[in-house]
Amino acid sequence: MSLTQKLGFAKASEHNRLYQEGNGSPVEKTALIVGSGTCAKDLAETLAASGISVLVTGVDGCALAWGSGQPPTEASPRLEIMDGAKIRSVSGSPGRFTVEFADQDRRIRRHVQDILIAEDPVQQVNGPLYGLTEGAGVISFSAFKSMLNPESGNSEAFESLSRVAFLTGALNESLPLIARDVMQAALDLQQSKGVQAYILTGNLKVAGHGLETLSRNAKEAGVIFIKNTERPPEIVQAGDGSITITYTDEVLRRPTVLNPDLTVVDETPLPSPSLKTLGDLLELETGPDGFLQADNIHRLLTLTNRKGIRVVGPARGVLSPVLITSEITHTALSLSWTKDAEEDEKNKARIETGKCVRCLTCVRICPYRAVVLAPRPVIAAAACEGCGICVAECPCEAIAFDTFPSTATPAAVEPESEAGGNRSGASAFIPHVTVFCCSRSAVPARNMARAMNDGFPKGLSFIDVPCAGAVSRLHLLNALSNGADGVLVVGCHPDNCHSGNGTLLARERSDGIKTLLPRLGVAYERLAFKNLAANMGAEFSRILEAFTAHLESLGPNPMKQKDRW
Amino acid sequence: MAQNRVLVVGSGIAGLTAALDLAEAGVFVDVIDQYAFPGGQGIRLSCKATDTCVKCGACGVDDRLGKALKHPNIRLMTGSGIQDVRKSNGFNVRIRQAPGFVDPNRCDNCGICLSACPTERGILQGTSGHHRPFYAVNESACLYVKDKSCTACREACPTGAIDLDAAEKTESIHADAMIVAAGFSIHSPLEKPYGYGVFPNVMTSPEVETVLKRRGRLVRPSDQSEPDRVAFIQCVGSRDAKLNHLWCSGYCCGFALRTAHLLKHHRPQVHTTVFYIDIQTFGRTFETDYKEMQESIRLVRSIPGDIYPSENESLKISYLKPDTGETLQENFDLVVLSVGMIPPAGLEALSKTLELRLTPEGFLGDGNGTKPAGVFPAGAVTGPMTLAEAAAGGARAAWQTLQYLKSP
Repeated sequence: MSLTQKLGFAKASEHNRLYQEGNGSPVEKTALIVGSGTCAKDLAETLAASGISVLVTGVDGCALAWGSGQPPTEASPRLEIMDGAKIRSVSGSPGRFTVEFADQDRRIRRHVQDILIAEDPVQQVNGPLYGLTEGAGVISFSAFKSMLNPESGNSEAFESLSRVAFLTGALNESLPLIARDVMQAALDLQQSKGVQAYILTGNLKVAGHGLETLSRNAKEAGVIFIKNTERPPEIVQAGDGSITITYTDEVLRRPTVLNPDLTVVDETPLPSPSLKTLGDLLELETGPDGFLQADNIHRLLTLTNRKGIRVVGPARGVLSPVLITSEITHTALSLSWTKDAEEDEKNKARIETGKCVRCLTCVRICPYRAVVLAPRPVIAAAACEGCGICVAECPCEAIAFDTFPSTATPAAVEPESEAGGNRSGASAFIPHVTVFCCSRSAVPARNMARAMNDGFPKGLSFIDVPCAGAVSRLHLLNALSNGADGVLVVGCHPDNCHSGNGTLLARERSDGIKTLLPRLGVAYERLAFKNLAANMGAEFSRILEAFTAHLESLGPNPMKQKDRW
Repeated sequence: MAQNRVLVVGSGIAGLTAALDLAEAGVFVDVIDQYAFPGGQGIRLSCKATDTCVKCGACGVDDRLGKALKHPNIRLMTGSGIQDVRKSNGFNVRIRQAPGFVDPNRCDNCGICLSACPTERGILQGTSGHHRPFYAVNESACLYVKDKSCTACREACPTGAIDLDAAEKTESIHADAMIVAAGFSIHSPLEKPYGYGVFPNVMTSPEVETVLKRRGRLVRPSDQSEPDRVAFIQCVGSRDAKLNHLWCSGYCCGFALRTAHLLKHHRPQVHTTVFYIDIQTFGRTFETDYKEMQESIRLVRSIPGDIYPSENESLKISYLKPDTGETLQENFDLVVLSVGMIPPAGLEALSKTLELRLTPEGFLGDGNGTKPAGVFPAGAVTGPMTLAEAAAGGARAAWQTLQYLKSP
């Protein structure tokens, strides 16, 4: 088998050579697409049509969508398929990834600007969920669909059928995407084959264009919907393969028996095991459902924790065809952007060579995988999102940041003049609070609270940080030793942190310091970490009020009188 | 070549996403919104996070609005609508912008105008930190605009920020293409037998969102107390053949379950009940979330018939017990109606101006052949959808627009 199967006049390799041999600036963009289904195919053709060279490979090393010798489309001059080669390693940074493929004993290296993962899910037949074994009387929905296809030559198969039961979400939760197909199939069967169709479900999923109408049309055509409200149906498969379903009839309110000639069970789309392997190889966040995108609002639509690597359509979750089309075009569009809108404002971290002892903490901790070994740790500016987590974690203070206060600098100790400058009455104790505010949550929430004119307690000084994960242990201790009566860190909720685990790190550090405080004679409540979202202005005021009120009852920080340590 | 210019109608999540994608591609985008504040319906949504994010997506709207406001290729005009459109090598669009009664440079968000105004909804209040000024005089409700009979807000304003004689603006722009992201309206439950508008403690889902966003806690309108027994009634104005609303609005199950979950988080003693037809899937971890929520939230598969007043402004709900069919009555301190999405007000007029065809349901057709060249629909104006779907729809319209602009 040849290593690369070229269709048309594959120019991608040509451009790659220019990229390699020239001064490093690519003549035109090349994107690597990992996927073997229709999404990968559509994505490849859309990109190629908009002037981007495309290299396609399947997650298992085989690009199936073009496998059956389909003729190349007009987009194909920019389209090259790597057949039978598996991705072995990916190095470099956004705009300059080096991908190494392995095919038996051969290796090939290619340079790409972007990596797009668009692999299809695998379908898990839900037979076992209902205690059913596939056979003559029980088939998967995919098998049923191909049976329904007029070209399959199976039209006689329906003649012997009088009752067909569809199981979708009867014991688990279905999806509108699946419910649409099942309802449409049941309706077709009922109308054109004269078969009585039953749909057994728990919650009928109708949240999609036209689905409510479809369900009504199916009902009117005679399809019987059986919903298990109080208890699930009992499904028994006898030794001869016959199926008995016992359910509670909604109108009669008594157990009713159904003996379908054919039972069709739906399927749950799941990420393939190879997709997980690829995710591990690329050090991508994975969602709780195993798809290659963290379940995090900041990653919508197709972003991952790594710049230059996107997950499109079925690789990031179970999506409707309309959404997949939207994502394909959005991806094509975003690849033409030279940089994203926020880029100019971002500060990038920098490792100072003299101080670095190569402990590799930064390499380990960076959520964006922006620290590369070359061979000493270097921050790839193109990949850095400027969260500051590495700055806070570096044990040698070897990482610098332009605008962010270094850990050695005492935190601002003078309260904001607007708030604390006009203390009324010398006797009243107004606690001075240092508030570290995450720029993605606490800062917008503070703006919102100000817009709503909620009013803050006096004595606050705000320090804005790119991410709560940028606040180090030293920041917290310095703030207290420099005279703050209380220190508050406000960051995003877990799962809503742009830097993945930045907010969890911040909480961990704050909790750690809190256990030390009593030994220093400082009440642990003087330090607190709070979660907040960008649109929670009222909550921001509430948190400040409660914290300040408690500090008032504690009195001044005893460390204030002591010398600095 | 001159810079392309595109007009986006609607500044909700779909319009903002489309505008940002186009702006990044170098197109100049005018975004108009008829409401006084940008961000669409989504900007009013509150965060439902407990100790962890529940992925409702509300913060994403604030985030996108912030980006759009900063983008040099985007110009946002609120209080603005299309007066007429003339086709000539694109579209010549006349836009009428309501007077800017409140000077953003003088307003310090004190809110005194709101308490001074004698008319309901005479002063509108923003819902986002991006809303500057945070208050607006509502042209259609203001008594001064009507007959110059009231100047209460102007007199009360301590910074002199209110100019009730401000003039409207009319502007003509040339757009090479248009994106219609006019969103949706909310079904008014006044007609339904649930006593909305009669009993103070019957609220709609958007009202709950606004209270949660402004105050951080849900309180009863009658006495500002936090309710102990809360009922959510689903599908009010959705999946309703009598109203000819043959659609599921798609977002209400997520709203009700997430809000019920949040109320439990605020006050564990709260009892929440959700009356439903079918619980719709929301979020990637729905299977496990739903199981957990069933432990703490009571789910009743029955749509109540009537609501009656009870002592202390509480409400008696009567419903059929799903397994036995007997009629039950139960008291609640607060009833929340999960109201559905309907085609946006004014869509019919807009569709006539732009020669767009509507679906039988009254939304904007999304398919081919239903739109004239150069006009692309996006978001919930094509039918009910979630925030994530609307954002994707905006992105898709941006792509279609660019393809159209590139075509000879």
